[in-house]
Amino acid sequence: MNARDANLVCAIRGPITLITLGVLFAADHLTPYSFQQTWPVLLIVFGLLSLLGRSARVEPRPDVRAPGGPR
Amino acid sequence: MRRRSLTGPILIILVGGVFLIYNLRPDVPLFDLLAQYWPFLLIAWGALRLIEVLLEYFRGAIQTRGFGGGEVTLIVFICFAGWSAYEAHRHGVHFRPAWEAFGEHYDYNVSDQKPAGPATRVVFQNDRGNLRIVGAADATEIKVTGRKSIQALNQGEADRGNDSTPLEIVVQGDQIIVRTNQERNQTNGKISEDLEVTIPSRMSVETHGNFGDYDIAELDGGVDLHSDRADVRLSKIGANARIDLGRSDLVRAVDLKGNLDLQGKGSDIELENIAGQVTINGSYSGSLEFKNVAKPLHYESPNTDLSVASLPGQISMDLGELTANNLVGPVHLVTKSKDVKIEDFSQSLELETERGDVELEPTRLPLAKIEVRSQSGQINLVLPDKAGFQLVANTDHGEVVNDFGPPIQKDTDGHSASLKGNVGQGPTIHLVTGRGTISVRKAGAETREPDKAEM
Repeated sequence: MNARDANLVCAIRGPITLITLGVLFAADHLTPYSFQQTWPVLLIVFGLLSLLGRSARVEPRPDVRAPGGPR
Repeated sequence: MRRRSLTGPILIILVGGVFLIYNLRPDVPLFDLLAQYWPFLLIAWGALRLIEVLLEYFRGAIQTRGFGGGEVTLIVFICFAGWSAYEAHRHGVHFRPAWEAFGEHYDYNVSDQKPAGPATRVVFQNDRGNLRIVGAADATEIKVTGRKSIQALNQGEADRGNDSTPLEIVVQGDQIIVRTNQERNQTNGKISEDLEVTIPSRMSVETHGNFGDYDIAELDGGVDLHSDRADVRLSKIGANARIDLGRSDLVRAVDLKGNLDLQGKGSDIELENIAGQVTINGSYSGSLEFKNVAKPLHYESPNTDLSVASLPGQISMDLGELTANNLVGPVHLVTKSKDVKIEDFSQSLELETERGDVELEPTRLPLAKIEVRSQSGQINLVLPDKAGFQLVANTDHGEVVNDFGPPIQKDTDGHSASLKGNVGQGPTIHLVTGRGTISVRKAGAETREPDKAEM
């Protein structure tokens, strides 16, 4: 894991949450599983993403102003 | 340099596309579709951002970061608007924004008639508009009168719409087809036709439509209705009725001699004096009233499954409550979340509920066999004074109350409690609840001395 991965995890957090939200609403409208039942999935996804972010940030991040690039 | 996300421009293109389709094809129920499928917008948006991020990652540098404040606001707004639209759609509200009402309504009278001859069936094909059909015993012809309403920008366009959609009565074998030909309309405006029809009462009726109510009375023949959205009122129908609806606010059938078969979604149902079998399959969120059904009644929805062998009394039901009296069993009821109150039933009763209180009051002897299973909710059984029965009652978390004295043993263990015993000779009564009080009471015993109430 390096800063690049940490950046990736940070950057996909929003999209993944959004997709999960969309899937839960779609499930509510089109399947018998209502949002009232499935909302904990959001917490789980968010928790998983945080875990992933933490493990990516185990090494101290180098200068944030110059991210990426082959090292 | 930080690249800007693609989602902004794509979102603008999408919104433009939606409005364009709406303006060019006013017949597409775009807002209903949006109300149902809007979550895919979120999914697509998320997927797009994900792809962007991954592409940047593999190119070497991630420049885009999390969502900005503007985007989060927009997402919250979309969720809120989409959810409200869906709730409105689910409760039967259809979207007609102000700009849809372009032009004006032009009205035309329509009428036609034709001898029925030996035909036994009339088929109505009226896409939009109400239909009122009355059978007359002495009628020999099919007589249609009514009003056509056309939405158009000017009289000329309305006339063109009218000319391209003539009302026709066509004989085809042993059936007669009455059609309004609305699909042939060459203009963009909507057409709807309200028709009043008289037919010989010996004939049966079949209808096909998208939008419009049906009111059908005094027929000896059967009725077969198909519509995406309609309220239905049937009275004095001599044979079977089959109703297949996408959505309805009300389905009412009174004095039906045949079977009733209803499928659909919607709000209220009212049935009274049905001589045949009743089968209802669908989901109804309003109030349901069933009265006097001579043959088996079966109601099946995602939340409730109810069947009785016949119904001399009545059943009233809504989303939270079911009350019934005078049922002929075997009665079978499975429901998710309802308070249930049933008075007077015969043969046997099998009741299963997830949440809700149950109150049973059989008044006739000998008692019916009773089996109640509830996950959460109290069970209150009121029995006649001289009733004979074999009781097994158990609550995992609650109390038990017994009015019948020593023949019934009370047993408590931690939070759970049970009643067991035989009073005279009689059927088995089995009551189980996960949480709640179980009481077995004597009819009219509410005012008795408290010291006799507990053992």
